[in-house]
Amino acid sequence: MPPHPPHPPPPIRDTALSEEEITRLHRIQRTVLQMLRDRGYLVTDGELNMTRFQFIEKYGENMKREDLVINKHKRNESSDQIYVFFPEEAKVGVKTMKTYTTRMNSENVFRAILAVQQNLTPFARTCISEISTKFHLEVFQEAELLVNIKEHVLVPEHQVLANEEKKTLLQRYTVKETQLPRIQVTDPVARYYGLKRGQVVKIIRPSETAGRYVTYRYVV
Amino acid sequence: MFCNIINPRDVLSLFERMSDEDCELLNIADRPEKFMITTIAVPPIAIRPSVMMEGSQSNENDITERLKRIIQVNASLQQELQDMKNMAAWDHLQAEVGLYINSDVRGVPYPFQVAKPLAGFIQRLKGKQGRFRGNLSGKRVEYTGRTVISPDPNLKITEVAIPIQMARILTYPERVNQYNIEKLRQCVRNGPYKYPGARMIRYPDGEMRLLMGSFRKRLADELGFGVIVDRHLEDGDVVLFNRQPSLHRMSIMCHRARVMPWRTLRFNESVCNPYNADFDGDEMNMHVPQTEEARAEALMLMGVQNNLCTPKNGEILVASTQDFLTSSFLITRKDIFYDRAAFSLICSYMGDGMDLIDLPTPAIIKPIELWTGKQIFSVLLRPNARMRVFVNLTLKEKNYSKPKNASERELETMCPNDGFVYFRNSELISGQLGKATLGNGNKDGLYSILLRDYNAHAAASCMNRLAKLSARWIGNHGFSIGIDDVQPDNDLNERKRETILNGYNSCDEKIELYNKGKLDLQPGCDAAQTLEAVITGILNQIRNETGQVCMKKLHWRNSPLIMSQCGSKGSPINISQMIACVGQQSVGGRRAPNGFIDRSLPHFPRQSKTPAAKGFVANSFYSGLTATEFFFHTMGGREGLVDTAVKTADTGYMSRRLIKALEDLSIHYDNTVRNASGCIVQFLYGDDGMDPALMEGKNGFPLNFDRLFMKVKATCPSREHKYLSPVEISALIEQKLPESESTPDGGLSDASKAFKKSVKAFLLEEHEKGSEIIMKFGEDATVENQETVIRVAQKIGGITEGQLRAFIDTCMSRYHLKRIEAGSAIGAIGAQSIGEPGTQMTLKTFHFAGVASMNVTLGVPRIKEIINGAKKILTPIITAELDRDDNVNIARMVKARIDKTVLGQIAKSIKTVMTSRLGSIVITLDMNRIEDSQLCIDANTVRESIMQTPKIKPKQLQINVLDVTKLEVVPLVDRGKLHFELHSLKNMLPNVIVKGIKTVERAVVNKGKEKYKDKEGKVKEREKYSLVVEGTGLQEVMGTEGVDGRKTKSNHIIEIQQTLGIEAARWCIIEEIQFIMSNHGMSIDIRHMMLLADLMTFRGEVLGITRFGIQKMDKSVLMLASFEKTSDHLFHASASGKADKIEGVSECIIMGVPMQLGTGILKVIQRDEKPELTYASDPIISAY
Repeated sequence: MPPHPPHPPPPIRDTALSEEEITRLHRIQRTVLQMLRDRGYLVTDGELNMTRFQFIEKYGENMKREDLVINKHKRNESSDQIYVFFPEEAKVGVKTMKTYTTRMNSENVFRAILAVQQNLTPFARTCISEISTKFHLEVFQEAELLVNIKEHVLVPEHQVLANEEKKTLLQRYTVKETQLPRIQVTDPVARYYGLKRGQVVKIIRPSETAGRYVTYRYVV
Repeated sequence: MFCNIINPRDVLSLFERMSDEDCELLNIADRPEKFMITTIAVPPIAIRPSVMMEGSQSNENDITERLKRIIQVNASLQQELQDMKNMAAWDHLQAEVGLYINSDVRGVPYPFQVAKPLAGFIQRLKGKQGRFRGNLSGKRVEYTGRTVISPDPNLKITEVAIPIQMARILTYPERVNQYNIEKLRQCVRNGPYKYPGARMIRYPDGEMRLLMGSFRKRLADELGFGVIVDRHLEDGDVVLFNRQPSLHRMSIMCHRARVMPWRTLRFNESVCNPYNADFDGDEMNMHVPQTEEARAEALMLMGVQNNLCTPKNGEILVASTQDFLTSSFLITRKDIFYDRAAFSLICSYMGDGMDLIDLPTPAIIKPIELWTGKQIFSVLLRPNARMRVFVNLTLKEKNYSKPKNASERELETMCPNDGFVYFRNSELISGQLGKATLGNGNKDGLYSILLRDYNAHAAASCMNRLAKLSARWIGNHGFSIGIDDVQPDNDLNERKRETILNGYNSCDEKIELYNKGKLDLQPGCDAAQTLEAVITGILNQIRNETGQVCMKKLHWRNSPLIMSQCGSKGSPINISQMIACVGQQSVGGRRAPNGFIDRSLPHFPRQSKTPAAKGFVANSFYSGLTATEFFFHTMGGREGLVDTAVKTADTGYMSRRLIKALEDLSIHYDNTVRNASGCIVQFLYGDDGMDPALMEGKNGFPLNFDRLFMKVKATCPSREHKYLSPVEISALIEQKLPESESTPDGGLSDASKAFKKSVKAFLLEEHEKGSEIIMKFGEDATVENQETVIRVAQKIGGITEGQLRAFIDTCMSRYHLKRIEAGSAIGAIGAQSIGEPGTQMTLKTFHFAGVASMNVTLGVPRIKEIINGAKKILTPIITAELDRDDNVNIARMVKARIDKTVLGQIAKSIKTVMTSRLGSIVITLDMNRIEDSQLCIDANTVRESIMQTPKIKPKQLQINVLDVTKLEVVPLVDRGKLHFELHSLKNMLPNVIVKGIKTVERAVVNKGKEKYKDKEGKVKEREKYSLVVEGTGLQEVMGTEGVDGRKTKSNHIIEIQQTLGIEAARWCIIEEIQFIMSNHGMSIDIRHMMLLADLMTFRGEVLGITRFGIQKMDKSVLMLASFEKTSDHLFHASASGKADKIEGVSECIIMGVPMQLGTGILKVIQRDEKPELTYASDPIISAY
């Protein structure tokens, strides 16, 4: 992405987003879409490769965060849907959460990603854990979504193992799953893929000595 | 307030009434009332022995004293109970019982234990001398000895000379059989005091007899088979030899005993290195294994021959040193010739005249037969034709004259300094041998090659021969150092004076410029820093220049020069310090600091920055230092001493922690690395399952193809065989190295595939080079000589089928032999490999991170940070790549976005405006300044940033934007406080951060160079800009516009883990340790660092190698108790009722059982067929 020349001081505005903010949002939206694709949701290439210009064209010069809401379904199963919300306020409260959950409830969607600007209020946080039996809400900060960490040079390829593969792995090394190396659910990469406790990821990393090395980590 | 202290009795009754279900919630194993002591355990007398003093007095054990006191207090309590007094003894009894368990328990009400605290039970357990570390993890042993060591080049490297006095005391129990009965009879006859004697006889029925007395003769005559005689140590006995600190496994090795007169332990100097021993009064220990099994195991695993290489990186450790190098260097001079008598004499030196030697053909035949010194080495390597050792190696010694610029050709064997060592089929063709060939710490040296291509015995016997040869040769030749060796001549003095004068003048110029404020600043430095950097540069230049002049001037027979050239002792810097100039003394990496007001010493004017005033020593050790110079020199010297003293303690503790954390990791039969409880740390050791001790190539690569190829070509001469055509070569390669081979062990396929690929790539490249040579020759050929030319060319560049086959076969077979064995205690080896280099790190603690003035911590402090998994590190640095890295202006712009800018920097003015009705502060921005540094700030953004600074309570402010460059801040307080409020606002506003990342200290644009290939495939260089950011905040930096977030890295491991995940953190640990080690010029196999990084990350979070991290690694209670916080772990374990399976290394040592790794990994499992009983007993509990 080419950097921009120093632009003149923008006119005094209150409601609309500044140039910088638009760039930010564009980057965030792209990362979110990539993340959805990597999780197996149907995302078209056109959406993924949207330039900044196209982005402005689609959402208008005076876009709002709420406009960006994304709704996608799994590649192989259209009933398995996910929402991505971009709350307007800096600190997301219970009220916004409630509106989101009602919306999800009405459309029978049980997973959602919240891309918050700064943080959640503590109440909202407890709210998430309360409704976690019904709705699976994941919270990301915008700062985390500016760069897709999966593409970072230090982050190797992670693949989620299917149950069958996991069983053969455990058999091959005659181990219990607790004896495998671990990865935390709160790990950035685990959050990117939306991993759940008990899953096993296969990690393929480049190696100085062997060229390629495969390891596994058990999500805890 | 009403405060009620609960009485212990109430607690007890509460506990007793607690229901069992509630107990379960507390996560305790037993009833809670058992936490209260109601009865006291009195240990038997063996636990608390009383020591009899002379007379009738006895000294009672501390525990007994404590018990005594408890009884006393109990008695007085009973008295008080009867008298119904205030019960002061109740508290007293509580305290006494507490002190009985732990003598420094807190909360003891009265200070009665001040005098000399009596140790409680906990004091007996904890600490270095405590039961756990002092008596359970390490024990006192018999059959040991210790004295001063001294050198003896006449001993083999596998031998150790043991004084007769020691041999008479140390014994080995030898069983009598028909082969040794006469020897043992004589021993028994000689008795305990006459060597070779015996101290004791043990009969099969268990009877033992000491051999002191006159009945020995009878016992000797009656000696029968099967009796065990504890005889004195004799030649060839197996002993373990050790020198503290035992930092790596080569600190204890197994030698063969040689009983000798005199009083010191002696060994070949070649073995000094692994022990890190010298002979300035060092003492060493020895142990005598007492069974045949122990001897066999010691010889195989710990024998010197089997430990020539260090598993740290596969370099050879046992190698020639010091005098051996000097004499080899002198012998192999180009101008050394010997006649038949002299040559034969020297040849007889190396084997005590007992070896069979085939004299080579003399190098000069007429007028008289003369042999060169180099031929002595040919004899040394291959004394006779029956010895089938063919060494092939090329090597550049230290004094090899490298081509000055790229256009010049490599001189190789034609090097004027004779620095190119070339052995072909065990004949020394060229080169003066020095440290690179014969010394330690090299992978391509002579001994390494003997060890790899032949065996340990070949290398060892070669070392033995060289030791004898050089000790005797240099004894005749003579080599000494005197005052005339360090006397500079007039010319040198003159030139030294000149360089120093020039240097001083340019320093003065710079100081002048600095004082005027006209010094050109270096990027990221202020004026003072720039001046320091510049002056340091100039002064180093002076030392280098004088040093070079001095080295050039020295006579070629100057002893220090010879020693430094061959690498036996001393460096060019040492020599030039003696002769020319000692140079700049540094304290803490800087020039001497000011110990007085504004000056280092009162001999100099204030604020003086001249070289002499800041610790530059212009004199040499020969000319003598002036008083001030001497003082500065001692300052530098003291820093070194202090540093080593501090460092040993630091690194020792670090090694201990590393060992404790890694000790139980071992390779299992499925090639996984697991800890004692079976958790997998690595699926394949080091990603490829290779043994780091056996790696031949650079950077831990299994083989050195170049060398092997050369050897194959030399040892399989082409003779009549046809050279292969390109097509045949590729066909043969395909045939020998098929793409897809079904490996039975699927796990290794990745690594061996990569290896095969590299073999193939090497061969193709070699073939390309070869055909290029043939082409070149072909161009020069004429019609007549074409055939000869092609033949010569093919000899150089071609390859026969036999050679190619031999090469591929050796590569593959050797590769498979280099796999690591199952059971290897790879954890302990890794811990030693990382801990041991720590002790050698010099005091270089800082290093420029690309940009001057931006330092990163190095050395032991940094290693400690990494290993501890520190949350806060000393110098966090983020290196950010840019989206567009070819433009300075863009780089500056991005820098401005990251760099912290405060309002004070961009404001033209911050003024208080007071009117009659209200007061405010008006800020005017300096738009020129803002535009200059491309900041994109206006009044609006400033308002936002003020609002986001919680420190100035923005909710109580009203901020009005007056115009693009002006804004007004109005505090909303009542009038009385207004004045104060304005004042404090005015102080705080300049520090408001208006742009950039708060956690970042500063950012610097770094100009680098990058090589790239243009469209035509030519390698070109271009300038490349990147940012170096001091501080934390990786996520923000990555997200900054213009930064390529995908390539942005940090040296802060915890931060990497938080932003990029555990895998990135693992990578970061490896990379950071490697960076430190390479900066200190130490090479460590990457597999060790991988293992450490994997261990630190295998739990999903970065665990430091500290007591907190180790606790989370699934370790047993006994191991934790023997590490740190002994009592805490024991108490906790007993409360929660933990069981210990005795799986780990520490536990096994404590319990005295063999551990589950190394030779102990094997278990013989027998199918247990149930014996069929003729009678049937009734089952106690029937299944039906």
